[in-house]
Amino acid sequence: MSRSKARKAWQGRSLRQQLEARGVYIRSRSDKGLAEEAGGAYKQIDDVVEATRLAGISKPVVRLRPIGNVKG
Amino acid sequence: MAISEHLQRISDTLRELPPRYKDGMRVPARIYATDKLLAGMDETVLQQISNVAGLPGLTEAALCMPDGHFGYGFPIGGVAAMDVDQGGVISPGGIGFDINCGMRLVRTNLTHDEVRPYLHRPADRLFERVPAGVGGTGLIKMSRREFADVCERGAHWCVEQGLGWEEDLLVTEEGGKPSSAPPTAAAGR
Repeated sequence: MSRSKARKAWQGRSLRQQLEARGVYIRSRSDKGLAEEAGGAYKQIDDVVEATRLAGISKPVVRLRPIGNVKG
Repeated sequence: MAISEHLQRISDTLRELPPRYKDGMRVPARIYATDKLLAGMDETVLQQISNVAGLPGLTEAALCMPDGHFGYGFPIGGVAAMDVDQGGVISPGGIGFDINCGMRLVRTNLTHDEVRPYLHRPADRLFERVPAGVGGTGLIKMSRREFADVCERGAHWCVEQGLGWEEDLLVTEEGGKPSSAPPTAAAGR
């Protein structure tokens, strides 16, 4: 999905509420900008990591979880 | 015939678009993806990586990573290695025009519980100090000559200006000063 589609598909404001409900601290210049980076705009990270592992081009070592998000 | 039908299965996680797929391709385009990820990949991504395969000096193949998605010229997640002795080029499109847009991983001994109550402090500071978004501008204004100086000496310039520490240079690629990259080799614009 392209960034512009992501922008349409996810309302920045509800995204902010979702993230804050999960304890993620957010600083963003606009809700629209925040919406560009909506998790749903990306592929499932587990699928991507598993594919790189199976292909032998990476080795998972640690899982990071966001606690803060700063976005232009 | 859809482009995806030209894909040859190399393994469970690797597909290949052979150079005969279209005129101009010099090397194969290879896509790392499982069936599931491939199914979710837009055809435009495959078109973009096959276009990359037409760049001069490319070694072996144009690659697309499993998170590949539509970009500006290159797909995001596209990888290409160029051999300068084989006519290779530097393609700004290959990094989506945001040079040095990258990842930083800084390790700390602080635990999540220790950081949590103060998280707003570094986040707010980053938000204030790091220019971001369309129209964002930096804190430093400089002349063309000064800019050439920065290009030449890289992160060393920053340290001299008090914008970084000596230790930062130790953990920066090429000591924060890329060799064989004279700014005079670039056009004025």
